[in-house]
Amino acid sequence: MAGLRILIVDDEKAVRTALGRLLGTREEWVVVGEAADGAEAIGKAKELKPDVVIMDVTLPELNGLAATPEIKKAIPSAEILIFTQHESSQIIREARNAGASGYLLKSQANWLVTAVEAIGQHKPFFGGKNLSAAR
Amino acid sequence: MNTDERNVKAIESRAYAETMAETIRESVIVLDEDLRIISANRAFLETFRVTRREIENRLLSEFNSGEWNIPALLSSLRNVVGPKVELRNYEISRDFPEAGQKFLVVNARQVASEDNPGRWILLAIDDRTEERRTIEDLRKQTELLQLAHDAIMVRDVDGVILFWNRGAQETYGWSPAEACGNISHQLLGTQFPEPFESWQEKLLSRGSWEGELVHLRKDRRRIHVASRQVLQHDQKGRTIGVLEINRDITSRKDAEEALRNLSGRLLQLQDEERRRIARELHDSTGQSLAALVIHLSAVSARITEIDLTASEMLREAIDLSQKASDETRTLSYLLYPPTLDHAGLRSALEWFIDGFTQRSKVKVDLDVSIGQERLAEIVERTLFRIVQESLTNIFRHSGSDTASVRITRRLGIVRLEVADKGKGIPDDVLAALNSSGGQLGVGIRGMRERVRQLGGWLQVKSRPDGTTIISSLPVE
Repeated sequence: MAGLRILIVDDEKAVRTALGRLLGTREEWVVVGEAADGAEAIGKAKELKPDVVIMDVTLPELNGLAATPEIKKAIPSAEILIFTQHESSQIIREARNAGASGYLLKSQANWLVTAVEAIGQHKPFFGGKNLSAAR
Repeated sequence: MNTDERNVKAIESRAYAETMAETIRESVIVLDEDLRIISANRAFLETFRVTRREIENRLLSEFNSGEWNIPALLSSLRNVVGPKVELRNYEISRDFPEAGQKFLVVNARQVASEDNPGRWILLAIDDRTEERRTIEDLRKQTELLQLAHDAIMVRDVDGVILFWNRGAQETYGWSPAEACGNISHQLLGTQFPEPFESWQEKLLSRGSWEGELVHLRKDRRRIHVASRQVLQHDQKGRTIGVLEINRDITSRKDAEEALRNLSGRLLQLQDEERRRIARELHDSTGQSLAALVIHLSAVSARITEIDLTASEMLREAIDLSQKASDETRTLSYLLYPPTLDHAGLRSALEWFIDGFTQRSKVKVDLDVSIGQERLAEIVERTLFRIVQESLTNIFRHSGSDTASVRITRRLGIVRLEVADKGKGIPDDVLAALNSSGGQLGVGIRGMRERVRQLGGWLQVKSRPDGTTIISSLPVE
């Protein structure tokens, strides 16, 4: 399995820390950086050129859905997973339009490793509520 | 023209005039310049119960037992000759020996004839006795009502106030002397619930009217009155006036208005409070729960030694925290639509209708044509709540499996139309919804209060094949 360089974008410190621990369970993955708002995310992405960006939606400055196309423009190879509290088919639609490769609800974080694995291999992963709790 | 022709012409026109005079209902006499009666029509003879022989060639002042010997009248009549001054609406109240008490209105002008140019007087006498008597009776009756606190007034067919009780003085500030003789709706600056002509048409055709009016007092203060108006007729069935009884309901109106404002304000505060709680739930509790799920997932991923019991307990913990996270999100969404603030009305409605259709199986057609510009926050929130409430009503009550939501913006007005193809609202329910009773802040009444708070208005159109709720809100 190829190693992945991951950028975590979330305005909640607790969520960033938890994500770091969860992703750290895979030895070949490296969390290369964290950002707390959309503008910072674009800067960090340009600087660190991650393979995968885990992107929250509700962010100060610039929201995740607005930051996504900017990052895709600067680093087309980066795959972006929208990871959010917001649940609606509309957000999923907007995520696709923005150029994200995946969407996962925060409450379904037990699917996060699977989702990152998929988009790391350039396979889209859009999970709604239908994902089962067991994994 | 020769003399013969002139004579023929004169005879013809005299015959014509006599036929006219015999036909009309008013009493007419012709006097010479000495005020001697030359002729009288049939109406005159009947009204005053005299024969032609008794009156012809008698002086007006000597005729009967001198009832017409009224110096002011006689001198006015003399003025009609020569200076050509018309006598207009001269009122006479007299007791006639044969005909009894009479109230007369007299008009006179000089008439020219070929052989006697400008020396005759045509005197028309309008007998208003009965009308006056009925009004007098009415006045006597209404005087019994002087003690009433309601404003009681009588006006004639032209709207002129004839009677004005003490209650009217208390209500409006004008004394009877100040009020009588004025046109009532001019004096009171009446605001009718519909155009004056159609309002009056209703009163005249139905014989009575009941409703609310807005009046101005003498001190220019505006008052609301509950008004009852009934046409008054004389013995021959002719309309002679209107009896109007008004009760000042301004304080009740003010209280209702205050209650409505309060209820609207409460709805707004409730919205703000819900929004605050929803945000708190979503952004704080929700994030903490999300972090908890992530932590537990990390723990789960790190467990390599399989302890089946511990593994099972961890699974349960993840399930529970996920459930708590989902419930928190759902609750927050129900309290306040998450996308309304950051993505705007259209997105919020799309989101809501999406979920609504999934839950209710009611197919909703949404059309928002208000351009890209965002509306004021409170307007968006109000429209969203009305759509939410209307669609919920459609699902619960209408039996319709389709609905449409249409929002347009024209000439500073945003118009929201929510329609269904259901069975409609029963008349009695609709009447109750439109009345001032019922629970505040819920259903259609709640919507109406929300709309009113923003200076708009709400209409409910219901037929057996569907209901449409139209809200119109002013925007800059």
